[in-house]
This record gives sequence, C-alpha cells and structure tokens, in this order.
Amino acid sequence: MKQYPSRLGVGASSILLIIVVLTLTLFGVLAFIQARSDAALTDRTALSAEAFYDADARAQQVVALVDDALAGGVLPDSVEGVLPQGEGAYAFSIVSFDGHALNVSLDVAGGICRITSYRYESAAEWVGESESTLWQGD
Amino acid sequence: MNEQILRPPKKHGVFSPVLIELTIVILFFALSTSIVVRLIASASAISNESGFHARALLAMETVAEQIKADPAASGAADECGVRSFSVPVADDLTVNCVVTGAEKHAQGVYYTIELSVPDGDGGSYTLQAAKYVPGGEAMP
Repeated sequence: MKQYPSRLGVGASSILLIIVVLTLTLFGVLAFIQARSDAALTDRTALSAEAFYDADARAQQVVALVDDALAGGVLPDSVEGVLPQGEGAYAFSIVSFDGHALNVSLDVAGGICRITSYRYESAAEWVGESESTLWQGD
Repeated sequence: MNEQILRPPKKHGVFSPVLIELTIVILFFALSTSIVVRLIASASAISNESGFHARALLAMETVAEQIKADPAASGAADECGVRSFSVPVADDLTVNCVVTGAEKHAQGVYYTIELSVPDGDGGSYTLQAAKYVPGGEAMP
C-alpha cells in the first residue's frame, strides 16, 4: 500500500490552534459583555422602578396630608409643596432620585381631595435641535 | 551480512518535531479552553441572575399594582393590622407581600406595601410601595 507524504508540516497545527483559541475567546468575551450589559440594564430598571414607587409613596403621603387639611378646615396650600392652581385646584410635584418628577393635580371642591392628574415625567429640560438640521422646504 | 552493514542504524530516543508541536498544542489548548469555559460559565451565571431579577421585578410591580387597587382586601388583616401573604407567580418565583395600614388619617388610611422575592441564595429582591385610600376603613 502506497503511503502519501503528509502535506501538513511543522506549524500547521499551531496555526489551527491559534484560530480556534481566538474564536473561542472572542465568543466567550462577547457572551460575557452581553451578560454584563443585560445585568446593568436590569439594575437600571430596578433603580427606576424603586425611584417611581418612592415618589409615588411620597405623593400619596402628600395627598393624605391634603385630605387631613381639608378635614380640619385648613386650606391645602398649608401643606408643604402644594401650590394653588385656580379655584379649588391645587398641584404639587415630587422629585424622584433618578431625575424624574411626579406631577400631581388635585381638585378639592366639596371638601374632598380628588386626583385629576398623576403624571410621572422627566424633570430634565427638553432641548430641541436647531432648525438648521431640518429641511425647511424650497 | 552485507545487508546488515548497509542498513541505517535505528534511532532511539529522538522525538519527531511534529509530535513535540502537537504535545505543546494540546497542552496550550487545554489551558486556554479551561479559561474560556470559565468565562462562558461566568457569563451564563450573570445572565441567569439578571434574568431572574428582571422577572422578579416585573412580578413585584404587577403584584404591587394589584394590591394598590384594593389594599384593605375586605379586612383580611390580622389583629395587628398587618396582612401577610404570598403570591406564586411561577415555579421558581413567589412574591411575599406584607400590607400594613400604617397611618390612619382623618379621611382615609395610608397603607404601606412591602414586597420581596427570595433569590435562592439567601438574599431577596425588595420593592416598597404605598397607597392612600380616602374614606377607607382602617385595618383593625
């Protein structure tokens, strides 16, 4: 039986190994970076939820105090942070620790505190882009 | 006799270069693979943990909103005014809830809601919420 000489000389297996190890390392690092990124996103989501419920709890506390004030015959703006917005309308804002604000509007007509608006918004000021980047028409 | 003289002597104890290279390659491959497998296992553990955290957070938010819709739950509290119960969300996920009618106001009750999900490693994920119910009756 005739034996053919191997065409793979010294170094071929090393080159193959380098390619395989580099590929494995690349996939491993990509998987690790993706996992870390997912974990960071989950942590941010948890922090955001915690900030919302903290602001929500403080807003509910203010509503309770406004109700107490109404029951005691005191104007709601005696509660710290509550501002009059018109006849029988009051509003207050609760700033959360992640840069949002819970803006609440109240209607106290009839001696009963009724929530008319409960909006959780970004407290950062919106900055529009300059008009020069938009097509203004011919 | 002449054939034995012409035959080249056998070499003993000399390794082929290819064999030496293959030995080094296999050792290096084993070493690098052990490191990469550790990296992938670590990534898998982090991914599983963050996935469970996300599910726990979603479950706690859902349960919190359900409790806020009716914090008194028709007076199902104990003598101390505390309502404690568990909500199974999945086989590996249970939300433990403690609802307390903490403050009685002139025209309502301020409830505090404490939620927790055990993470299986002795720790837990927690979320705290509150709800003021105007005109609501205080827990006993």
